[in-house]
Amino acid sequence: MIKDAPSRDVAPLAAEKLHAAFRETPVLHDISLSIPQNRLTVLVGPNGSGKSTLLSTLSRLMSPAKGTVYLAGKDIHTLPTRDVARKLGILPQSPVLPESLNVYDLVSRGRYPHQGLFRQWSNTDEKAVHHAMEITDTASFAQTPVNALSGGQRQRCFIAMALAQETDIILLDEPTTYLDLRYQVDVMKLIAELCRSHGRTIVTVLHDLNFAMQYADHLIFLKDGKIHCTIDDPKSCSANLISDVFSTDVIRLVDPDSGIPVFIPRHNAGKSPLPSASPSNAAPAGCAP
Amino acid sequence: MRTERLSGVHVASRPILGLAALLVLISTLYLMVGPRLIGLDSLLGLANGFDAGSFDHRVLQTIRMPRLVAALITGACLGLSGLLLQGLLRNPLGEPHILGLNAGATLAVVVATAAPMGLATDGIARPLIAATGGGLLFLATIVFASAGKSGMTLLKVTFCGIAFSALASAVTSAILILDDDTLDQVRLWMVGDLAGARMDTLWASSWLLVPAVIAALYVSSCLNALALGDDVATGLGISVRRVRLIGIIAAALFCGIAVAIAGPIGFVGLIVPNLVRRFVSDYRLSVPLVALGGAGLLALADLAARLVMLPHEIPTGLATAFVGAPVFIILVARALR
Repeated sequence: MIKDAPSRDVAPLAAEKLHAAFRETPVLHDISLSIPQNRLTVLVGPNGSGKSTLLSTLSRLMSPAKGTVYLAGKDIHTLPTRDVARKLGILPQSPVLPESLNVYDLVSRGRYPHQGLFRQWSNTDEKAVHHAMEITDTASFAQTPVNALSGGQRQRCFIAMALAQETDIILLDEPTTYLDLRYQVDVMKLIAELCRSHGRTIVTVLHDLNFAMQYADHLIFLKDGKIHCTIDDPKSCSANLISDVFSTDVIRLVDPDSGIPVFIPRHNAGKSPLPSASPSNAAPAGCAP
Repeated sequence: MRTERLSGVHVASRPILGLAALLVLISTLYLMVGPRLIGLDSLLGLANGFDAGSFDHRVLQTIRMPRLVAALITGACLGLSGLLLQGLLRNPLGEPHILGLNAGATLAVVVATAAPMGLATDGIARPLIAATGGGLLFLATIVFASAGKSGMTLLKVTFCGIAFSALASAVTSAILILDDDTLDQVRLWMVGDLAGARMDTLWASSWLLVPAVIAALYVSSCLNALALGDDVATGLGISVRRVRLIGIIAAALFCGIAVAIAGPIGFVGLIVPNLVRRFVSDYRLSVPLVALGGAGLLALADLAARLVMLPHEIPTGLATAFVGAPVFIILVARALR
């Protein structure tokens, strides 16, 4: 085995021939990928395609059935978990939120991997927490209980915790779920900014295809637990590809602002699945012409 | 709370000192008040030296002081056991009495006492036997509560704990009905009464406190991360399984020490940690606060148990149940809301 010194072309995070199962049901099949440095990688795919399982396996929350995850060239499962936590942060989809926990305390919990029995809270910790709260714009409510905040603010606090961990790689599982449109934009802008201006490598699962198109530098499409395709330029994404991945007809439009494609489902394509019901009970009152 | 943020320790020391002062006050009251009132002068006089001629001094030396020490240690252990269980399971109803640890510990001690080959039930063996029994019954509780698709929910753990407690108590009763000698030995201890506190056990147990406290301090720093969910904790570099294992062993040790000294006493481990966690979200700070609070509450409860029906005493466990049962009901109602 070669010792240390990852060469420059080693990906920060990579997977080789990964197979994983969730409660005995195989979910991922033969996944090999490599995550580009300082880019925002987005995992997209229909429900049950294995996005979250892949993210969990990449972050060592789940062990693969076969194959290996490499963190800077080393098998992530052979590294001490605390060392991994200094290089890779993960924000799961629905973290538990304890009562009476204020924002500052939540964010400072991200410092755990940097502390030890003899290495207590230090200036470095304090600085990291403040910096994380500044970037995420959460410093103004540092002493507010997290559960008194709106969904968007809360999510920014959790991202701040992941930032305070000061890892080069951050994995996020559907960070915009349950958020209003405005907060989704806020959170996505923040995430993109972290890659562009703060040197982070981010991998995130996103449910919303159009958000993925707008913000991703690198897109991985998953279908049935396999990588369907990988693209670096969202503009090269065709309607056929999306129709294939999501098994539904879509129309490709182009956002006049950014030139990035937008996909909308084709609602009237082919036969409607149900024979048209009698109009009297079909449309709700408010929609009647 | 608009205090300037200082690093942990400075802010933390204030509530600890406050509770410690309260504990001194409760202890003084505990020593002075009883069937015979003892003045502060006698109490202070004892600090200058034991006077064999003083009846007050003899009461303090032989009765009240040992019982106070037993109350303080038992109370602190019960509180810490509850705090660890609540943190490890993320379940506000985590408590040695509810989750079966107390019943398991009691059963183990009774079995050891009744065993024909005469197992040692004094010295350090007693809390160890109790801790083993409590830990095993708790393991059975969580194994059964984890069965099924929904996994280990708050209600399933609680119900399984209550069911296993009932089962263990039934077995304990059966043994005692069949074995009069054992019954005589454990009668007073069985109901959870500091009047029957065993001094030999008290001193032997202090040794076990050392590993238990070290484990609790180690686990408490991880509980902060564990409070955010297993996945967050793993992501922060915590080996969740190892922390749970160490934490459960510590909780069983604390429970074993408490039960070995005073018998099964309920609700201290429920009330105090829940109260502390309402105001303090940092488990590293909760550990000393819960220890002080548990010691104070049990001393207060025992004082009440000695006084409410003078000249008779009621068992300490009865006094804690009077306060604790309503708290339990409130917590269940809140958990179900």
